[in-house]
Amino acid sequence: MTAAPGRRLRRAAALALCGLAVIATAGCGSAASAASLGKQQTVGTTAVPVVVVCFNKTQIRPGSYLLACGDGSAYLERLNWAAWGPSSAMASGTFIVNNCTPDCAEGRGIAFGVLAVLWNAQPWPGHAGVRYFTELTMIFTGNRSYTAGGKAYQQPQTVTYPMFKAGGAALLSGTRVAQDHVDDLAGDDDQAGDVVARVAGVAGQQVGDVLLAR
Amino acid sequence: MTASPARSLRKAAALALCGIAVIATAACGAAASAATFGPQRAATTTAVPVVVSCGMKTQVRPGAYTLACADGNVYVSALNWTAWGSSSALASGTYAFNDCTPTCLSGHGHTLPGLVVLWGAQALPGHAGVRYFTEMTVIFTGNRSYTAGGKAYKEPQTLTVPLSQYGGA
Repeated sequence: MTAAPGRRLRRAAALALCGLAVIATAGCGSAASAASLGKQQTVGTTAVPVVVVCFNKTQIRPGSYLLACGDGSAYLERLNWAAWGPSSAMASGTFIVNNCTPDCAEGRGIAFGVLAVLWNAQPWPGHAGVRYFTELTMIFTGNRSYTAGGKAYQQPQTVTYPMFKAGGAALLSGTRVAQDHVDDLAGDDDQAGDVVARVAGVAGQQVGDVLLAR
Repeated sequence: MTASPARSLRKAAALALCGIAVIATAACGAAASAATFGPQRAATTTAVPVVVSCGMKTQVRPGAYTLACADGNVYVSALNWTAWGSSSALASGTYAFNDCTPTCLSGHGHTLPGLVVLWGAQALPGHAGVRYFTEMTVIFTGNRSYTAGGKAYKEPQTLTVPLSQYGGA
């Protein structure tokens, strides 16, 4: 049974364009969440890759992970690792992001159920024999809708963030995506996302969204 | 080289629909790949979810999985499972599809490396106590570009497809 894959697939394509939904900026005042980032394991040279946490510390199977090193406005918590291997790792958990409404200092955290997949292990510069995961893909497995400032938004089905060698992920600051702009983009194939990606030199789905939101 | 994943997805959708004409032939290699389905374990009532194959058999940790049951033009294979748990499963493998250019019969196969994530476990209708994964997300981890009919295409970073209780997507 092929159950109308066309529409779902086109939707998947649109979603894949969607990238970042809510990115907060400096001054979000949630440094506390950075400090409360749960149990950490420090690892040395090891066969499996590590993740690098803010700032320049390494972990395997962290219970939580701060994506926005600058302000703690986006992080993963309650991570339950099902696999941590030489080339990939996967956990179920919760993605929490500040809605920055009316501003980041007064915003509230919104939680989404996700699967977090780490992949693309690369040598960690300056640390012989240590590899670290350079990509994080989050799959939103539950509710993806939320409201901010009276407007309704929806997270995409997946987001993929490059991870920094100093820790955290490539959440660009000073931005928050208006999802309707992204939907417009998705409607006319994905030209803009790729173009913007080339200009900025970062993965298209994130940067495209961020710039479109401005 | 924006390569338009939306278009390639529509193509994939078209692939799934282009089935009937091809079904009787081995040209698209589908029947063959179904036959070479690697290590399979028939799952009985179990704590972990299953996937449903095109032959409506339940499987855990299949070596390959056909998404387009009608013609086998889209499938994942060379699956190496690193986790198969109660709510999700993870494998490395490849995503293979026929570009159906100019037609499925004379199209070319493409193979892209990726991670396969299964999730969204739900009760399998008609099978008491059995759950099956209802969603598959493919994360493309390497090359995502290909050419078909002289044009360049690029898959998106991820692809999420719903899985059918009758097998495939």
